[in-house]
Amino acid sequence: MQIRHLSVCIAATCLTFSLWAQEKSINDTLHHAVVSDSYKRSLLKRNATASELLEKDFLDRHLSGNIVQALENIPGVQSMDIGSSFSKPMIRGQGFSRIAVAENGVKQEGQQWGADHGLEIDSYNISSIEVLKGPASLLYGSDAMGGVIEIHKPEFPSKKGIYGEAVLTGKSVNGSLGTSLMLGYSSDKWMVQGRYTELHFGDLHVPTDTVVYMTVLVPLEGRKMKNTAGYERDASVFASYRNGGYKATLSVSNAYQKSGFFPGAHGIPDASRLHDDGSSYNIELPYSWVDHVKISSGHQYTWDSNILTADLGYQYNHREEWSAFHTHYPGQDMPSTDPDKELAFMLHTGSGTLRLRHFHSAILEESIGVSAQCQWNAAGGYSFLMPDYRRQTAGAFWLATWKPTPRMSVTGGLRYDWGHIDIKSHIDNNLGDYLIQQGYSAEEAAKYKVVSTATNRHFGDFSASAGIVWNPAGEHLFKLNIGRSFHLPGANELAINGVHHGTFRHEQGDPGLDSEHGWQFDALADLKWGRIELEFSPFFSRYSNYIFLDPTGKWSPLPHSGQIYRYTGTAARFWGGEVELHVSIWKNLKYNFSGDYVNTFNETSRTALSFSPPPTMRNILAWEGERWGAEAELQSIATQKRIAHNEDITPGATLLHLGGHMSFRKTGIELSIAIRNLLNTKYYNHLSFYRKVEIPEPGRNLSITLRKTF
Amino acid sequence: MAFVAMSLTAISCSKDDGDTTKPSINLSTPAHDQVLKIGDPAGVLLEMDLSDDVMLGSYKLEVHSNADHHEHSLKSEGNTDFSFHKEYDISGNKSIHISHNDIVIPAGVTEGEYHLMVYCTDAAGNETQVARDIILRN
Repeated sequence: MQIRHLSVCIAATCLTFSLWAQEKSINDTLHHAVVSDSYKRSLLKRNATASELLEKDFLDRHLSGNIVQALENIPGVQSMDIGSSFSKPMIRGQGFSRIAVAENGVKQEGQQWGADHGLEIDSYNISSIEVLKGPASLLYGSDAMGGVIEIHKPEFPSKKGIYGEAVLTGKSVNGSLGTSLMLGYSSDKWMVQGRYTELHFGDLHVPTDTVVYMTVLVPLEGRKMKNTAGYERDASVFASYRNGGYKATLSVSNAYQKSGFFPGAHGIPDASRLHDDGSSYNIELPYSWVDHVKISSGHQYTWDSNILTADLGYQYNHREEWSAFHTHYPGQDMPSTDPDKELAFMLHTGSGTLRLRHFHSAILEESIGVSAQCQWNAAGGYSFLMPDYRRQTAGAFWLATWKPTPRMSVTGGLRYDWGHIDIKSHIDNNLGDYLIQQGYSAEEAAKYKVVSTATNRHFGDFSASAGIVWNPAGEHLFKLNIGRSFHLPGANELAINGVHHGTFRHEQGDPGLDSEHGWQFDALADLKWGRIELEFSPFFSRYSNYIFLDPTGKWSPLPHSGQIYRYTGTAARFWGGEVELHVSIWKNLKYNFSGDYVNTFNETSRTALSFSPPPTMRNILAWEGERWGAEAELQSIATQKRIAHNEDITPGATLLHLGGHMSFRKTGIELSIAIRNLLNTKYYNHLSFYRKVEIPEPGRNLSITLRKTF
Repeated sequence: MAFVAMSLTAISCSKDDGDTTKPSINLSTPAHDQVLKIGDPAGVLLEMDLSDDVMLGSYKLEVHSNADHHEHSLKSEGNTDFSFHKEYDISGNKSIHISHNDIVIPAGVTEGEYHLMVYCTDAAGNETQVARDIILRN
């Protein structure tokens, strides 16, 4: 049954997704893998929206956590952490399924709507990564309303023959130890490389002895968060072939993550479940694991003044949460197999894009394309959260770029998308009986036992954008972009009706929700005078229908839950911007400043939207020599007073970080050392999953990475 | 220019006048780990002060078993755990003193550890909750 659905999906889809990737391939053939400042600038000039590129050198030296945490070095990008090992990205205050992460031209599909789900990507398997901070629905469809994080495909290495990399890494804050090994072979026409990564980590250390949650004092014995240990195991193979005007890539990857849940944040806090069990590396119930398989293939054929690209992808995200069998209502029998499997999500995604680029002349090019995606989600476990559903989207787009002078380019485009979602109903009769027994009316019991409402909806919406990139003189760069984007409501926003144990709230979907849509403006000015570079990128967006969880003030009849929160559309505004200043002080000594600000506003509640990132500033003094480098960073996080209903004000903090790296020429080994939070400051992250349990961020963390490339 | 103008308009009218301050619950009775008598017809004395900076909404009381420290592995038959839930409208008040004996524990329910939960909302939907361990004895 599953297989049949799947093949139908794949067959129907036969078209992938990445647009950018292809656009880049052109640039890549022109520039090869020459990683230089001018290359970086030429990449950034391509998009009329504010964008940033992080290259391998930078990532290698700043990977003291995971890849999302490394992205936080880009102003305007935030990391929403679940402990210290797993994170999900946020761009200018938008996260979850409102931003897209694409790898090898395929948009990553997991359970990104969920608060305690991280990004299932091997952090070591990334050569360079580009972040688009503005609307990108035009290129990526529905989910790229808030921006895109694109992980570039590996390039043909400059060296022919065998090449590889071995990485050994350790972190003190959770006793993590990891290794990543890559081996590849390349010739003129072929390259193939494989990578294996394994990381183990123990319970997370936090700089506090107790946390207060729901007025209950929860002790943290040994300043450790019990049962937050875990491990990660990733394997991937990438192959690329080029011959004349044809280029193809194939990528197969698997990411597996398993980690325990802090029992104090899983249900009502209870000190008796938090006694030190003597081991820092054991994973006991409750825990979760996720297995992500992804296969993608890209093809590009260039002839005359045309480039035809096709990208295909299939991925399977399988997540399970295990917790000793429990039920809040009598009557439910313990399952005979896997009695402790609380929740399972099995999400299949097939996707494809076909695009033709035609160059009319040196100054005008046009692209047309179609893309489609097909998803199929199945749920399991003795508890219920996310329904079974099927979702199909398809879009057609047109883009044009006009370059009246070599210093100016004007781009514009239109796209229309169709979406269909079919959500299965789910009825919990035990819950119905329980409610009757508790004295609720038959009518109420009938209403609340429907934990997922059958929903069958069709959507259609358009995206558009127009932008200009202008390089008036020298290296100054200006960008201006206006775009309309949209986002289809998720299955949870439409259909669910029950307590989400990750947020501990009774969340209710609305099957009548419309798609989210809005207009976004963004601009960028990048000015360079000799040793000084100043970049300023403001943005403003307004959504006429932005879905948020609205506290209804109506009490839920379900046990252990307060009021009902309903997914509701509201008009909302976002504005803010980033500032960067780079100064070459003397020889290799550099001073970098960056700051970001996001203001979110819900026009209905007249408050901020939830998870509004606090203003942050970074002052960095760095020495970048040929063989060694060192940097000191002062990170200042402002107090976040602008909160949504039922969020807490998060006090600000000032943190000191140190880092250094050195390469040993003879051996080809590079050593990187970083100390995050040197002063062991106790602080909270407004965007952390553990924030509402009042668990502070990790304390001082020494990380050491040894890397040998050959 | 248009951008700057729009931003300025946005900034000037984005006034956070929505209320995000949560109501407060000051639960004095029953106390933490207080032993409550099963079958006492007078009921359990509950005393607390609720207040909000703008306007209170309602509150809800809930009692449920905590015998297995929230693992809830329920025996479906012969379950005599005590449970209680009731909602109260307190809109129109900024602060209120609550004192009543509405929670009546009937004879025959299972002895042991229970949770008393108090949930309180204000008019804007801000919510506060308090969990208190209580013990039921015959």
